[in-house]
Amino acid sequence: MIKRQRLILLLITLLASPLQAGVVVIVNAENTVNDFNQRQLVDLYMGRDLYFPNGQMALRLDQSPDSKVRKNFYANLVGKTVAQVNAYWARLLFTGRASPPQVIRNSKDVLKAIRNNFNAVGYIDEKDLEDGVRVIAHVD
Amino acid sequence: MLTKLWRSLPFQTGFSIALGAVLLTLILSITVYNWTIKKVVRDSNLRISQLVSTVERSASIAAYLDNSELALDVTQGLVKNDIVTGVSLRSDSGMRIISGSPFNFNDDNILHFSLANPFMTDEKIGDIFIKPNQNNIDAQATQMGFIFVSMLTTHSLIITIFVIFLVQSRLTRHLTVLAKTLHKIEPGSVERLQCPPLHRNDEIGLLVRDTNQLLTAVQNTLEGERRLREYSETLEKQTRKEAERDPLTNLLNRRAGERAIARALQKAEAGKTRCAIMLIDLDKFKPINDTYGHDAGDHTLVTISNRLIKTLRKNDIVIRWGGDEFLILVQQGHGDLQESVIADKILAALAVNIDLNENTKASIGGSIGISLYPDHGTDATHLIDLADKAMYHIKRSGRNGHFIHTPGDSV
Repeated sequence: MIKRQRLILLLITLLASPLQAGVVVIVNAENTVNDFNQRQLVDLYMGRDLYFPNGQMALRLDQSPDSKVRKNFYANLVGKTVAQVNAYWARLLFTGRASPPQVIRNSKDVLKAIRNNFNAVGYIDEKDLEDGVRVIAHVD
Repeated sequence: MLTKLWRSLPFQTGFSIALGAVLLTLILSITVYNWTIKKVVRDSNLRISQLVSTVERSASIAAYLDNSELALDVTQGLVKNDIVTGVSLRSDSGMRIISGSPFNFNDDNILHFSLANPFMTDEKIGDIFIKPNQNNIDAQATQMGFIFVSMLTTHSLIITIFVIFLVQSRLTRHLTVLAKTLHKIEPGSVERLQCPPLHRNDEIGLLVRDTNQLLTAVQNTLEGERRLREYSETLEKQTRKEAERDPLTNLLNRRAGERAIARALQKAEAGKTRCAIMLIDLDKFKPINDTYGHDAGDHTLVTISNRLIKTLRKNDIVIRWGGDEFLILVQQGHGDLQESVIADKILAALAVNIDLNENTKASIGGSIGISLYPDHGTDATHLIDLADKAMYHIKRSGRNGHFIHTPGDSV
């Protein structure tokens, strides 16, 4: 069932945007969390809600600041540049309650970290998608 | 004094202008003051809005994350401004942060700003409530209001003084001077109003010219009336004189003479003085008339009259009694009545020759009969009658002499 869903999703994404490389949000394949809508995703990544609906704290992964995928992710998610998002976290730093996502060097390492961590959540370019992870949202 | 001042035109004019200015200033001041308060409140609210807009992003983030540290940072920052006394930041998810003095959110002057989700701007996630510093607003309003009102008052005052001065110097001062001058001018006098030099061509000049024309008309009318009166008086005097005087000799005529004697006797009675009545008849007058003609006769009468006037004193009465008869009343002077001396003086005067023409001299004399008041009676007619009898006595006894009536003497 899950496999079929995944196949359909894969098929849709392949059909939908072969040229326009979308960004997908992924979790561990074993994570049964439902698909995230945009609000949930914004609250998660901007630090408002750090938990999955099941109560588990999410380990949020960010891509390298220079990466294209990070730029696309935030541009599509909150309409802001990487610098603006950095400024947002900087503003919160002095309150002692800033909780920016953990930065991972590249998509490969993101995939690896998610496969290894049940509560991890990250985003990658759709074309870098591999087995062992599950897509919970498309950001484009 | 006060009533006089109140009724004076300059005071009334000045007072009206000043009253108008005060009322206008009052109304304008109230309007300006209200406007000032509104403006100050508006300005204050605008400044607060601007302040809020500078911290809006942080406030939104604080509300988004329920981050009380960031929220406090925002509210405390706002409260530091002297136009704000209290700030409350609330998130819809339940965060409540208040800085400054607590306040009732339902107050009229509380400012409210909605906070939007920083990432989804169409979603409201919280509010900021701000209580403006009312003391600051009041102080500013008072200060600005005071400045405006005092400027307005000064302005009105200066204009009022200027207008009063202008009205006074251009109009009422001249009217006052004209009114006072006109008041002093007697009807019919030659005095005229003077036109102020700068007002020859305006209403004041017209007023002065017309008034002067009226004054001239009045003067002319009165002058004419005075001349007429003088003329009629002269005429009357002349008429009376003609009625009283003998036209030839200019002596009193018989009728006027009788009245004069009656008056003189009354006066003598009152003053207890004596009088002598002398009736003179010229001797040798008829021959002159017959021989040299009426002109010579007239000349003789005039000459004799003049001599009589000259010989007698001023208050003695000389009357042309008839053709060549003269009646004289001699009043007692300071001393005794010296009727005989006077009679002799008269005779001496009559005796002097009269030049009838270059070659002819006439010599005439007179017969004088005398009666005395009150010695011989008090009634004028009676006394004259006695004098007449005495005169005839002289005529008969040789002429050119005088005779004083003697009581008991049967003539």
